[in-house]
Amino acid sequence: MKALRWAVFVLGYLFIVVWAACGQTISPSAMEFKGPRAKGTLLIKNEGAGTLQVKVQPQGFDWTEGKPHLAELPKGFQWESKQRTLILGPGQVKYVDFTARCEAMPCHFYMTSVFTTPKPKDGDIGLTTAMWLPCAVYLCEKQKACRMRTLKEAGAIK
Amino acid sequence: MTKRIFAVLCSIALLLMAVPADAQAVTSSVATVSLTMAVPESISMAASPAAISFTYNQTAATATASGNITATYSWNVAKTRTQLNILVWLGSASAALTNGATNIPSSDVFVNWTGVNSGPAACTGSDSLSPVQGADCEYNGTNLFAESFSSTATTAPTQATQFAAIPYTGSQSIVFAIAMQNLPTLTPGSYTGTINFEAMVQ
Repeated sequence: MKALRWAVFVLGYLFIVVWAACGQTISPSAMEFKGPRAKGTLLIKNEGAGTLQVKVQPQGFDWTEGKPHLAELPKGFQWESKQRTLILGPGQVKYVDFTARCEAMPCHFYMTSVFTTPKPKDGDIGLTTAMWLPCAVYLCEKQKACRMRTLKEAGAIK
Repeated sequence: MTKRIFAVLCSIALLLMAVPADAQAVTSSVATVSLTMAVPESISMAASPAAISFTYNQTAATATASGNITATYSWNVAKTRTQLNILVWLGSASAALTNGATNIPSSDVFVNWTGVNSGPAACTGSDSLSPVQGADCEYNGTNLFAESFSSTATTAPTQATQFAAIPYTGSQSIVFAIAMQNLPTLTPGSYTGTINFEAMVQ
């Protein structure tokens, strides 16, 4: 009986370790385009042991004194995707295509994949976790070195 | 007789002439096939466990979490990236947890970035840049935990150092201890909310 309890404990521990080791993944982490239109594809992977809901949405970001932070989306920003929400089973990979358009350039934003976990059971007081993984998208007049130019202008790099 | 000898000698001569011709190397033109492999950049995150529950103590007006949340961040990025930034926030300032009628504000939810922060702080961080006003779970008074990439970094990042130089490929775990204090009297029901983790690379 004691051995069985130990076995359950060890298996439970291993499950938690494996769960923790297997994260949710997005790729790439950054893209650059010749504006004003961006057409990209995100790889979204659920490396966990449970089914997750994923929502894809844009987020604005900017820099203050070279330090990045979330911000409003660029003025006149528009985006489209046929796969704004999806369900990902354990180990499943999906590709999400999106198009975006900026009114003015240079322009930058995140295409963020939000992974949410199931809610706690009824009667519980509980917090679920949501994991936000953004891909930084940069649009410039010229695609080449768009991100580097943007970062230099923002003071994020010298 | 002479004719025979002549014929034999001619045959030998022909055979000898054929030898150098055979020894000549015959080579084809060189065909090349280029090999390329694109390894895309990626960032990963895992929060374990996926959800935590709390035990409510009405007398003490507190709620104790079933355990900590360990967030593990992994990245494999190009050497042109500059920083990895980590944000944590609750879904709402006025109703961080709710049963639909009674709300638990974010000021009652305390998060300690174990090993990073000096002590638990209420998730009330707010500035014009916060994802949700008044609901940031801050790291030492700022809504970001940031680390700079460095091609020369060889050691694993330490949680205690903000803006530590980290390699372009690596992972880091941060343990978040969560508790609730100063709770109002809660009517029976299911109180739920969401804690958000974000990892950003520019």
